[in-house]
Amino acid sequence: MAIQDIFNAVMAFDEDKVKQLTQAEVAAGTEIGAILNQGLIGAMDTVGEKFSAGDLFVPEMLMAAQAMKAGLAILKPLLSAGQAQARGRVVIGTVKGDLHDIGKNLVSMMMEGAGFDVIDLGVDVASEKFVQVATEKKADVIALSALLTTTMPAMQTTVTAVKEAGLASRTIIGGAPVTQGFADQIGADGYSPDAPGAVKLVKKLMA
Amino acid sequence: MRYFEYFSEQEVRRIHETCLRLLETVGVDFSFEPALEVLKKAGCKVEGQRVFFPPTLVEAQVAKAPAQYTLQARNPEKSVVIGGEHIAFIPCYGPPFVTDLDRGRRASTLEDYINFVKLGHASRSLDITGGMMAEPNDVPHERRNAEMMYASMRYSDKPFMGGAIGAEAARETIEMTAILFGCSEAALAEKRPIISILCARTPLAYDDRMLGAIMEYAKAGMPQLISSLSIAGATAPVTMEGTLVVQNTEVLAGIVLTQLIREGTPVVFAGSSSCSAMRYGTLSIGAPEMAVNTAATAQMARFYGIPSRGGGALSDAKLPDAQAGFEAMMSQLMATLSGVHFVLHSAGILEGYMVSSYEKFVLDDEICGMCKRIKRGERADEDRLAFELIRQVGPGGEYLTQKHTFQNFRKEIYANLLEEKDSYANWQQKGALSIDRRANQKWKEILKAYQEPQLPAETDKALRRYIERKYGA
Repeated sequence: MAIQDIFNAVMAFDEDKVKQLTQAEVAAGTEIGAILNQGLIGAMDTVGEKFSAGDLFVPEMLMAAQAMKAGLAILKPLLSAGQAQARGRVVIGTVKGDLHDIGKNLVSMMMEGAGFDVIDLGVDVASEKFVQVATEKKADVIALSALLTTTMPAMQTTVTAVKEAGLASRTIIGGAPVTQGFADQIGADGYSPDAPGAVKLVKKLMA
Repeated sequence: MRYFEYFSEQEVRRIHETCLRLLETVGVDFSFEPALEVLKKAGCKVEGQRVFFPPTLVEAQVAKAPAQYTLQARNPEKSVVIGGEHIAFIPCYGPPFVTDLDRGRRASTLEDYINFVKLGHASRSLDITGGMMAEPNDVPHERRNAEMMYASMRYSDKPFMGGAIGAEAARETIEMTAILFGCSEAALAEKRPIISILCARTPLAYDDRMLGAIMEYAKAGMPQLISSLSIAGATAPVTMEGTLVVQNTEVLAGIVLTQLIREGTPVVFAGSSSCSAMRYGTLSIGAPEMAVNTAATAQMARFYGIPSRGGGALSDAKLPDAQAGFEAMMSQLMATLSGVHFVLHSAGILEGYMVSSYEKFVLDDEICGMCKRIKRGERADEDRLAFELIRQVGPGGEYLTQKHTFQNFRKEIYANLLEEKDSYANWQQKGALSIDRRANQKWKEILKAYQEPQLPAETDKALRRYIERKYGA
């Protein structure tokens, strides 16, 4: 019953309630994995469906994610190494020369909400930095964003650098001027036209 | 003509004071050392990249920007006045994709850019050749600005827009324009044949590439739009009033910089803010909020005595369809009625600035023509009221055969390019075409009938030589 209450609190965008109830469940000795998967990630999966259906809009989806993350912060120190990386680890950033970040931030937050461990490198990120962090953190996916056509070549540079470094990480790209064709051209593993699609894409790549 | 305005005088003051307070206490980030030096020397408090502006400095500098100026065209008859009672329409700017009903959506090429220069040149209602109307994806990056500048200079004799990606593009534009006019750069400052758009990075910042170009153009006395696209709910408050304040604060900060570099250098107070499409977290430009901001920007620019930019034939639609039509007309009508001077994106835009459409280009040209007619308005003069004529014709008479009608109808009534006004039977017989299909025929006709306004051979050679010396054959 109580895990359902956590689920409902996320759906109600109630950060304080999520924190309170998660704390209580942990204290009650409920299995951490169950709280994580059924209470928090489960709620965000439902949020994701409602968002795709157009019943919830971006600010609401982000509020739900914020509430979920508050609960996740309480569980994090208690998660096993396997549980922590369970769904996957993503390194994300806007490529070198580009300072636009709204879209990237949206993808970042939606991925976290979906239970992925996200390392956001910010904007104007050199290909070397992507490779370095992905190597250190053993990232499953490297996600690249660009809004400017003039910075799209930096996506190619990064994808090539990842391959040359021999990383197992998959690369995905997105941004308004980016297309599937461009992704194919530069050898990226995937492309998404929007944030929900990026989350689905990463889930598919991790399957 | 009296303009549509939302705000009372008191509200205008309050908006202005809020901007001054932000400039003084919150500040704006300038990520470019040379700009920081200029601002510091002028009396701003500078902490790292954060610049705090004294209100007296802001008001004093903003007052130096001219209220009106003329862009001289290669063909003097096509010179354009920016400011006062005038409105100028300029095509789309920025899309990396192009579309038409035959070939569909695709990455744009230099040929598309050239086609849009030609369509603009042939237009009665578009005043200035657009910049970056379709990104030439088939040209190596470094060379794109030069090839677009050459195309603007060769295929049209109207004033045109300059490059904006960094000081290098600005420099290159100025050098090529000096070759075109066969004069020194100092003399160019008198002619002002180009205008460029430079933007803030919302909220409350300017990046190094934009600042490099802003400073280069200001030094040369070249007109420039100091522009902000603040997105309500994403990069600015979700209230349009809050977005207006973020927008104006950025624009004022940029204008102060230009005037400090060269007093009296012409600028445009440019606001193109809108709201997010909250379902997707993306920018929506075919939104009523955009129209609201257009009027608000125009009114505030009038308060500052600086020409304004806003509006456009703006649409989020994917096709030149009904959505594209009503969204575009909404923004253009608002721009016209609220007294905007410089209307960018007035031809071709689809998909919220991502795509330039050939069909929409000519449809929008029609909208520009209609809006110019609306701006012309009415003058209740004795002879225009036509009392004598009405008395002569009397009750029960008719006007179709009157000499007065015969003599004046062509200049009195707007002559449409494209709109379908024929009878149903005739429309059917002509092929029962929807307006986008008519537009598809029309742009092809225009390109076929296009006549190049020849550049003098030496000028053309000098321009090609400049490009080849920099980038190879």
